[in-house]
Amino acid sequence: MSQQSALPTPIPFESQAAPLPTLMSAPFISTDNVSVRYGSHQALEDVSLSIRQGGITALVGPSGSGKTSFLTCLNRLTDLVPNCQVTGTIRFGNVDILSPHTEVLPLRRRIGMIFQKPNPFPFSIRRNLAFPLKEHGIRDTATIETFIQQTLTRVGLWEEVRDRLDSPAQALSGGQQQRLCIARALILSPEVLLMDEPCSALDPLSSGVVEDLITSLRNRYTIIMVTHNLAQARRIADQVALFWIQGQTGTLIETQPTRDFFTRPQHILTKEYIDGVRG
Amino acid sequence: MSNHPQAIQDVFAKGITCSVAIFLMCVFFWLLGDIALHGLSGLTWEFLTTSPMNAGREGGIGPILVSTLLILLVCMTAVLPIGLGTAILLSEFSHQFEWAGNLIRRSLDVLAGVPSIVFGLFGNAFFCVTLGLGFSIVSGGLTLACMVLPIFIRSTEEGFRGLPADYRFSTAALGLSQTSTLVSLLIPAAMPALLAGFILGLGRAIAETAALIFTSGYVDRMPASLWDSGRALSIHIYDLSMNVPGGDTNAYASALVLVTLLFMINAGAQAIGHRWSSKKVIAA
Repeated sequence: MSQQSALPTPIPFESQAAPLPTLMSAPFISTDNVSVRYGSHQALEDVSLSIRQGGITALVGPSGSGKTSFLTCLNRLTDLVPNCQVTGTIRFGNVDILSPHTEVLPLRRRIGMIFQKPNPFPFSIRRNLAFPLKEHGIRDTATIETFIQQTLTRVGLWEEVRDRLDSPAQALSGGQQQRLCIARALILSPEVLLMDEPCSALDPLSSGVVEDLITSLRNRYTIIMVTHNLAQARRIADQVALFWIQGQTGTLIETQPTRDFFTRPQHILTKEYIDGVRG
Repeated sequence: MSNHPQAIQDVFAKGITCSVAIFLMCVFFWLLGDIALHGLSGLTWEFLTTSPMNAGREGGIGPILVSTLLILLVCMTAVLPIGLGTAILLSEFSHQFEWAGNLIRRSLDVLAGVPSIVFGLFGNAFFCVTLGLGFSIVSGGLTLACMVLPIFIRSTEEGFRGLPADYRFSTAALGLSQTSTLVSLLIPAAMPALLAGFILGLGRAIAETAALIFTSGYVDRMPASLWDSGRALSIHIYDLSMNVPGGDTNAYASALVLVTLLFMINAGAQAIGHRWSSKKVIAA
């Protein structure tokens, strides 16, 4: 299988602490006039956005403004939705994501995703992490065990679960499940993490732990995160993009570095949204 | 106890549901008890292994038991791959051709309600005559398969549809193929529904007479191969109780064997299915 041969050797986590040398100015992912239709419903229109490597980009805005639709275009999860049509261009390095010639399975290995609701598989904790590795061609048990320990340590779960790796993952608490799901994405050594409101289904305490985890992933991974929590966006994002719903269609209103977004919004909608007048 | 009208209503409703359940259980145990009471005396090792004599009044059901098992084997061997394949097609892939999926579903629902005698005539015309399989265990098994498939497919499809949509999205987001998702996650997770469909279908197959008279025949000899005709247990019971005066004891004993067989196959299928899926899936 092609995605097996394309599998890069995961970098040991110790060496991941140092930020990657990046060209901060060159966009890592850039979208050009991306539009999404579900049947006859235009959900998102003409989104053009640049995302630099290693940063955290927060997508904010009211429900129905197309944030999640935009997110799922980036890993072509939209392919799974019946009657969903995506147009425009999305560049990821030198990959044209929306091209029909792009192989989605290796692409999705490079662009991991965390969902709103923690969704561990009905497997043991160990198998939740081993399963994606095995499917991507890593068979050696010792290697798998090492990856599992490293990744669980990375998400701060190792000490909590080391004695019960073979018990059901779905018996973990919500926050632990979400960290396991992040570990499941990280274990494949992705370059980008898409997060769809990763904290909104969690209690405040777990939400804080997961938020700290996300912050600690900055620089090593390029993170694009949908959030309804403006305070959270302000705390952890490097840039914020406001989506808005106009008529029935979502559009991108404004993208700014976080400080400018909150202190010098360019658009009246942004100002009203951060002031809590609209939204 | 409260005298509040709503509370009284609840007590009343609870009473009705309980008595209906108890009534149904009584019917079930009465039926089983009756069969066991009349059949146990005739049930010996000899009865299970020897050939019927004197039109079944004497002797046993050896060849009939073998024919029944062979018919079921042919039936289920055909049903499992075709049924599982169709159920997967309908639940996982039919959104790509919605109208065809709906057409298949509607057809299956109609087929599930078709009287078995119609399947018998179809099986006779198609398997026995057109395909030239004659009156044989293969013809009978395949005819039963046609009858069982609609039930099995729809029940299995519902099982797959009942799984959280999360599973498909989260495996896709990890770059896993649909095939490995199916094999490692969806089929094991849908195992309870798969087993329910299998057992429901099997129940219908094992109890069938009308469809088999025209296809597998009613000769009570020991079949030498799948291409021989053979008499199923249900036909034997029908024959003994309707056409053979004095055959009641053996009819009861045969019915007891039939019911026991059903229980045993159920338990076996459950055990194998759970064992297989529990290696893959553990829910909290």
